[in-house]
Amino acid sequence: MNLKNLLSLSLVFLLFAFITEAQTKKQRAAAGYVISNYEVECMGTGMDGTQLIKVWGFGRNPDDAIYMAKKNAVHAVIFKGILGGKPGCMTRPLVNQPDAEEKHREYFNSFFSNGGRYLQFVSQTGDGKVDRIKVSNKDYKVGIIVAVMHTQLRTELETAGILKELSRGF
Amino acid sequence: MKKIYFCIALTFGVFYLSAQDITNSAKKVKNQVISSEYNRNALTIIGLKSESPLADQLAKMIDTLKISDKFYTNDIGFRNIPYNTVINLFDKAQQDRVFKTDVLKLLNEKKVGQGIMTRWFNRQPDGTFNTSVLKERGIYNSDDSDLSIATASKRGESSLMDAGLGLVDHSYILVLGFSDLMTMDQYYTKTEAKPETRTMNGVKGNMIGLLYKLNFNDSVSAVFYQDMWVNKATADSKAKIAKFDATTFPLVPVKNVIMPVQATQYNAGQSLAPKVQKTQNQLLQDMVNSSMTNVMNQLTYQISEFKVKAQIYKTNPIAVKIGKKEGLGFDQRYFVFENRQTPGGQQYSSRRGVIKSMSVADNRSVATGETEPSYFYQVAGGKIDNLGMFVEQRNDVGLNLFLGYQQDAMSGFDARIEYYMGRLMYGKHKGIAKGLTSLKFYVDGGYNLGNFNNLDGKLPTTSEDIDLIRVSAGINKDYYLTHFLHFGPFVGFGIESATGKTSKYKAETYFIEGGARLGINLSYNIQLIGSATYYVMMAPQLKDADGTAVKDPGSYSDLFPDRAGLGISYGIRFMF
Repeated sequence: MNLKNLLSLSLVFLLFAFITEAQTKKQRAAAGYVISNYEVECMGTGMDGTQLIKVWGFGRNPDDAIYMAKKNAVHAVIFKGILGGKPGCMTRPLVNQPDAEEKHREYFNSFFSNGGRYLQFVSQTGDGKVDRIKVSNKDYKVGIIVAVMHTQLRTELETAGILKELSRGF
Repeated sequence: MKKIYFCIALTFGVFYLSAQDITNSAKKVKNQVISSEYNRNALTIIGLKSESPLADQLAKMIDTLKISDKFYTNDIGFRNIPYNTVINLFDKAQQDRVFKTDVLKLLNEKKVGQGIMTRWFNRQPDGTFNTSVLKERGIYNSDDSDLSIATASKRGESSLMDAGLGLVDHSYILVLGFSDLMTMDQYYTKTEAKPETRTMNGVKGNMIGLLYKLNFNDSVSAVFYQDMWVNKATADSKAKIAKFDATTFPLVPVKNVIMPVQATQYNAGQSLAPKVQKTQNQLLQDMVNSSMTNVMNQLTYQISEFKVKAQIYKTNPIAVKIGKKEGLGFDQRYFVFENRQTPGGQQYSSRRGVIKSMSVADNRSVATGETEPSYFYQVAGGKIDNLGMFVEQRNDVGLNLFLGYQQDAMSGFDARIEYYMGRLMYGKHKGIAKGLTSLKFYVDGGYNLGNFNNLDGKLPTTSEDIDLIRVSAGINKDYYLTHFLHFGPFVGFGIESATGKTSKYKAETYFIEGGARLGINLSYNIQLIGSATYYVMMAPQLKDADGTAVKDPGSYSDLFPDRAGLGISYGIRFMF
C-alpha cells in the first residue's frame, strides 16, 4: 500500500468517526439526555406522603441510567410537578419560584451530586423491574418505578431555607 | 476424494445455512418489539363429537383432559358439541370454512362466550354477578414486581384485584376435533397391506385444533356493565338477566392447526412389541393427550400472548421468577432480549442470548414478594445482565441431528440423532439439577464402502467391496465452557456389520465407544462439532445367509484393519 492510499484510508476513517460522533450527540439531544427533558408519569398515590412515579433516565450503562432516573424523579417533584399518568400525584412542584434552582445553585449541586442527599428521598419499587432501551452504542434509556417521599422532601427544603414552612404562611 | 467433496459440501452448507439464519432472524427482529409483559391466559376446551364409533370414548377423554397450570381453566358446564368433523389436510378453503364459519357458528349457538362470562363474573343461580373470581385471578396473576408496586401504593393489594378485569380479554377457546379415525386393521384393509406388513395395532387419523378468543373489548365491556350487570341491589334485574341470557358474546378466530395423529403399538410377538399390550382405550387416551400437547406447543410457537415472558432477576446463575405456574419444564429453551432503538427512533427487540432451565421452581401460589426463581444456563449469545433484559419462551422439540464424516477408526459417513432425556428425568426433583442439563440419549449410524479381503477367507490375494454399517446408542452430556463453546463426553454400545458384494458370509461385531465432542456455535441452533471416539471391538462372528455363525474369524482387526482405535469426526449439528 503506497502513501497516497494510506492517507486516503485514514481520511475515510477520520470522517467516519466524526459522522458517528455527531450522530450520537444529535440522538442524545433528541432523546432527552438533558436533565430538564426527561419523561415522568404518575403511577398513583403512595403510602404515607409518597408519590409513585415512573421515570426515565439516560446513562452510559443501565446502572448509571437508573441513578439518573432517580435523580430525575426527585428533580421532577421539586421543580416540575407530576402532570401525566394516573391521578394521585402532586401536579404542582414543591418549588414555584422560577429562579429557585439558580438562586440556590450551590445547595442543589450538592443535593443532586452523585451519591448525594437526593437518594434519601427516593426508593425504587417493582422488585428490581426495569424498562430499558439501548438507544445507541454508548447510551441506555431506562425506566423505573420509584416512590418519592414528598412530605420529607418538603421538610428538607424548608430546613434548607428554600421553602417557607407551611405554618408560617398562615 | 470423497472426503474432499464432503468437506467442500459441508463448508458451503454451513455458510449458506448460517447466512440464511442471520439474515432471516435479523429481518424478523428488526420488524418487531417484543413486549416484556405477560399475563396469564384462560382456556376453555371444547371437543367436536363426531359420529365415529370411537366418538363416545373420545368425548369422555376430552371431558377429563387436563389443562396446563399455565392457564386458568374456564369450564363452562360442557366440553363436547356434536359436530361431524371432516377435514381434508390439503384443502385450505375447506379448513378455513370449518374454522371461520361452521365451528364459530356452532360455538355461538352453544353460547360459549356467555359461559365464559358466567365463569369470570361468577354468575349465581339467581342471575347476579360478583367479582370474587376476578379478584382471585388478579392476585394470582400478579408477580413480585406487581406486589411491590401495589404495596407501595395507597390502594395496596386492592389494585391487584382490579387487574383481574384486564384478564377477561385473555380468554381463549381451544376446539379439538378428530377426523378420519380408523383402527390399524381398518387402515391395513383400506391400503390392501400385505399380511407380513400388518405389524401394528392401534388408531390413526387427523386432528384439528381451532383457537378462538373472547372479544371483550371496551364496547363489549361497556354494554355488559350498563345493560347486563346485576347484583343484589339492581332494580331492573329481570330485564338485565333476560338480556344477558339472550346475548351472544363475540368470539374471534385466532389460529387453526391440523395434523395427523396416531396411537399405535407393535403386535404381540413382534420384536419391538411392548411386554404388555395397551388396550384400545389406553391408546386413545395417549392419542388425545399427545394431541393436546402438540397443539399447545404449536400455538405457543405462533401466538405471542401464549409465550411466557419475564425479566431476568439475577445472574450467576441466571434466575427468572417463573416456574410451574407458567408451565416451565426442565431444559426448556428461552430467548433473552434487549430492546434497542435505531438512529431513526424505531424500537426493536434484539436477541442477546439463549438460555435453558436447570431448575423449575414450584411457584403455584400467590406472590409473596419472596417468590423462588427458576435457574437457567446459557447455551448461546453474549453477556446477559439483570438490568432490563427479559426472556421469552421459545420451546424446542428437544432433538438434535448431526451429519458428518469420520476418519481413521470406523471411517465413513456419520449421522446422529440426540434426544434431551434430562427433561423426562427431572420429574419431582427440586432445585438445580446440573447433572441433568443437556443430558442426551443418542443413536448414531455410520456407513462406509471399502475394499477389503474377501469374507469367504480366500486370503490373501482376493479382495472385494464390502458395505460397513454401524449403529450405536449411548449417553452424552454437554458442558458449556463458554457461551458459544461446549464440550460433551459420551459413552455408548453398538454393532457393526460387514456385507461383501460377492462373498456369501457376513461379519458382525459388537463394540464399545467412548470419547468427547467439542462444539462451536454458528448460531444458537447450529454448531460445528468435532469428535474424538475410541472404539473397542468385541469378538466378531462370521454368519451365513441364514444368520448362523459359521466359523471363528479371529479378531475383527484381522478382517478390517483400522476399524478399532481412535476415530476423528467432524460435521454440523442442527438443534430442533
